[in-house]
Amino acid sequence: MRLIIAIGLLFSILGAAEISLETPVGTVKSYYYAMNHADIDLLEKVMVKESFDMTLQVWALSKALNDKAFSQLLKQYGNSVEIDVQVRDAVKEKLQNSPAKTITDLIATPLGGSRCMIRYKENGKDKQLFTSREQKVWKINYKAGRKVD
Amino acid sequence: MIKKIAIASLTLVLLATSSFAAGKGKNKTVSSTSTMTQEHKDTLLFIYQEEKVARDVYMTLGQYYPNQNVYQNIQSSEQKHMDSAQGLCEKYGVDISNVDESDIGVFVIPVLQELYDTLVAQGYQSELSGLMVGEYIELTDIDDLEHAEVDMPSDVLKVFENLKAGSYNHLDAFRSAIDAYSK
Repeated sequence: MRLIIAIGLLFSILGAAEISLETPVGTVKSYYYAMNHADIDLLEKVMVKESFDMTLQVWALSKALNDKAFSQLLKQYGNSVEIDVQVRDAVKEKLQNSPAKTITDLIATPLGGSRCMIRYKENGKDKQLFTSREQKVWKINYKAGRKVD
Repeated sequence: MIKKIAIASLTLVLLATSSFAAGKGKNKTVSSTSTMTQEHKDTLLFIYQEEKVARDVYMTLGQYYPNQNVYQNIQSSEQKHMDSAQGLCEKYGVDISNVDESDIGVFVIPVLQELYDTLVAQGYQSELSGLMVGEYIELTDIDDLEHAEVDMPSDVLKVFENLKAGSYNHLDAFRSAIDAYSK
C-alpha cells in the first residue's frame, strides 16, 4: 500500500514539474505536457481564451470535414456548455490517438516586459510560440508576436 | 447521381463548419476609427501569417492536381493578399521579421502547421475534396476578415474590403470548378 502511494506521489511530483506557468518556457512545456496527455482542461489554463478556442477548432477540423453532424456541432462551439464538451471530447480523442511530441532547445526572447517569444524544436523541427503575461502567469497567446511596452 | 449527392453533402459540411453559414454576407456594414490600437496591430500580424496558409495550401494542391487550373489562377492572387497584409504591417510598424514565408508548407507556429496539414490531407483525398477545401478556405477568410475589420482605421478597412472581394472571386471560381466537376 505504501509503495502504491509512494509511486503515485512520485508521478504527481513529476507531473507537477511539467506544469508551471511562472516562466514563458515553463508555459510552453506545460502546453506540450497538456497536448501529449490529452488534457484539455490543462490546455485551457495554459492559453489565453482566443488562442485556446482557435486551437480547439483547428484540431477539430479534420473530424468536421468528414462528419456532417460534428461539423454542425463545431459551428455552434462557444454557444453552449453541452456542445463545447462534445468538441472537447473529440479533440481529446484525437490527441489520445496522436503520437507524443518532444520539444528541445527552448530559447526565450523577450518582446517587451509582458510578452516573450519561445523558439524551440518540436521533433527536431523549428517552431515558435508567443506568450503574454496574464496577471501573475504566462500564457500561450498566438497574437502576442510583436514587441510591446 | 451518387456524385451529386456526395457533392451536396460535402457542401453542407463545409458551409456548416464556416460561420459564413450563420448569415454573414457581402453587405455587412463595418464601423471604422482613425486609431490603430495594439490589438489591431496584433491582428494585422496574425492575418499576415494566416494568409500564408491559404497560399501554401493552393500551391501544394496545385502541384498535386496539375490539371486543375483554379489553383494556379488563385495562388498568385493569394500572394497579393499576403503582400497587402505585409504592406499594412509595414505601414503601421508591425515587425514581421519573426515570420518566414520562404518555405512552402512550413509554419513555425504549431496551430498554423496543423491547419495546413489538415487542409492538405483533406485535399489529397480526391480532386473534388481539394476543391471543397478551397471553398472552405475562402469562406473562412471572408469570415476572419469581417471579424478583424471591426473598428479598424479606414485605410485598413479599405484593404480588407479588397481582400474580401478577392476572396469572393476565389469562392466563385471554386464553386464553378465544383459545378463543372459534377457535370
